[in-house]
Amino acid sequence: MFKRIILLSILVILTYGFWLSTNFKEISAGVAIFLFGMLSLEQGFKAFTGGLLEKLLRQTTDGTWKSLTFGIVSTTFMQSSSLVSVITISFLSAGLIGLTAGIGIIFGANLGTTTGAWLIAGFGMKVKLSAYAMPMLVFGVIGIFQKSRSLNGIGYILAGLGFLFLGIHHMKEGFDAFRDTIDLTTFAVEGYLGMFVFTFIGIIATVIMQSSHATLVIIITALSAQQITYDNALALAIGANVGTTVTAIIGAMSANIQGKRLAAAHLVFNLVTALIAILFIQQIGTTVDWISAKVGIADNNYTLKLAVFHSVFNTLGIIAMVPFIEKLANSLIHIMPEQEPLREKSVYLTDSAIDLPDTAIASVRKETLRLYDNAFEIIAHGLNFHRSVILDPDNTGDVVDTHSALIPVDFDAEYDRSIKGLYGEIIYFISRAQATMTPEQADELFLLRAAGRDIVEAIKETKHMHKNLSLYIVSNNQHIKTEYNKLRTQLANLMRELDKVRNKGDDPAEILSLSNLKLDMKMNDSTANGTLEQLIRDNKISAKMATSLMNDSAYAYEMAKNLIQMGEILFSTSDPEMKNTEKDIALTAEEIADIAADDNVRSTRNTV
Amino acid sequence: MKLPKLLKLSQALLSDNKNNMDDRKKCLKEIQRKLKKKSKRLKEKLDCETNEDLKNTIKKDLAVVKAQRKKVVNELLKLKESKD
Repeated sequence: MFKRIILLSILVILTYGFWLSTNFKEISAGVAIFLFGMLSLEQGFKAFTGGLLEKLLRQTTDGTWKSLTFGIVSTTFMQSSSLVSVITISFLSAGLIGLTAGIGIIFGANLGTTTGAWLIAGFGMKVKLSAYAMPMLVFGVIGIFQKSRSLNGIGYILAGLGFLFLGIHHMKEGFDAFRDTIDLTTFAVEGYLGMFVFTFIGIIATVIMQSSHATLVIIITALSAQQITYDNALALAIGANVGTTVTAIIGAMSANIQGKRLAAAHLVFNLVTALIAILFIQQIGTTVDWISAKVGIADNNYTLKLAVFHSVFNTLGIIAMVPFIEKLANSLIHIMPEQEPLREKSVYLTDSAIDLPDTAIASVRKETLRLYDNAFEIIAHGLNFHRSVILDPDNTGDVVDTHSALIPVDFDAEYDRSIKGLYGEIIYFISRAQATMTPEQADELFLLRAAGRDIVEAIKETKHMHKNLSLYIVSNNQHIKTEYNKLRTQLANLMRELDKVRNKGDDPAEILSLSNLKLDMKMNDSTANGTLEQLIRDNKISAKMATSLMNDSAYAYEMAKNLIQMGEILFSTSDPEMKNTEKDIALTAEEIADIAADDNVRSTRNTV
Repeated sequence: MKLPKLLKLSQALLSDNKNNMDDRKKCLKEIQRKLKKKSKRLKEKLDCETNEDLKNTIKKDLAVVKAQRKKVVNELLKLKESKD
């Protein structure tokens, strides 16, 4: 309701303003076109976020200075700190970068965004920008109509730049015409009161437009048309810096706790920077004058001096805050702790990751790994093992006899608590994310969905096995006990091997060793290798036991197959080409059967 | 260089197919190298092993690596043929 009242009020004020003044109409249209240009520009850059930007972000954020540099360079290049913030939040939410690196990027982005003021003040105020805007718009729209993702992206970037230029042109024209009818400098306020009033106006203007760039353009054009004083322009620029955090806060609302922490860090940085700028305004002003004189900016060129001021006070903010990045990150983690959910919920699947295909895939992969971790515990308990026992590299076959005390497990409750909700969220996220993906990326998600299904199937198979397994591992019949313990050991070994493959990272030879597990599975199938028949023939187990063992061997076989399939998808190398090659070299069921039938290998069966 | 030859060369250089084939060859070579190393390591382990059960496990692993290495060689040959 409150939002609607605000919107209505803005619309009424604007309509009254349009009726009152043609120049106000032109300035407002300029702002609207400029903001539309920003949206187009972001849309264009998003087309390229599927590769280069994300790769760079991953490789260049392992140190504070590196993340800082990445923030400066990427924002300078894209001219949108909002886009960099949103991408950083989505990366942080997906767990691809740490909070310290994220904070470094955001600090850098604040400095990077000041280059916009330089460009507008140095270039935009001197050149007739509309002349450049027209061809850009034409080429841009042609590009937008193209099917190719990159041409489409270039089209949006060109159109975005065209609209930005056109917007600046209209704002400039509006303020120039304003000069002849009304002098806004009569509203100037001097001293600290003016500083606070105009800082507040800067905040409000940026909150409404959700772009500090747009506010800065208005400030620079107004300053260039001498409609505001230099001192008030400085205060407005400080306000714009604080107001821009609102965009990040809105972006973080749909993000997880990590994204919210980053938005909080952004707010802290901008508030501290603003405070420094207000407190030391005289000293910063002197520094700006000194730098301007050194680089040859005329004393009365206030627009460029504003750009210098914008860069100087953001640099001061970085100098003041960088030594405290770690402390800030730790405090935020302490103040905003992660909440332990009653029913397992996704951690990495956030709305901010949906529009960035590679991030969306990485998020689904991480979440499916969490699903596997939860499933691991249920399966381990279902096999009557503690997780730590399976993962202990020193334990081999002997582990069974020492851990035969029954572990209570409620499959339905466990499934409901730690699998069902999470799996559902993964499926829902995948179906939403696929809409904006290339066929290759959609295939990747399809595979991850299959891996999730394999995990769920493995739990169901464990549940089926569990009843007989609990009965026979404490049975007086040593033969059936041995067979069930064999099943448990084989599956525990398989889970341990899978864990080894997972932890070896990007080594293709490790993924290929999953074929060994397939061979083990084939050779240890007691139904197929004749063990079961032998036990029945020798009257060592009853008919009921034999039926149970036959069914449970089939469940164990299916479970192993599902887990190996899952491992091949989830633990494969990150390079797409290598992933495909690994898939081709992994042995097929027929090839495994051929090896199992080989005399040299067959002779090893009875002893394993 | 004559124009048709130059065109053919530039076409080959810019071709997506060629780039894909080069990438695949690179991956196959990398896997081949890793598998060779693994095979050597397993053979050394087999020579030192005295436990019969563990020996058999290593033999099975070796059989799998051998089959995979064979697959890599076949894939490389296929790639070479399609290049020619």
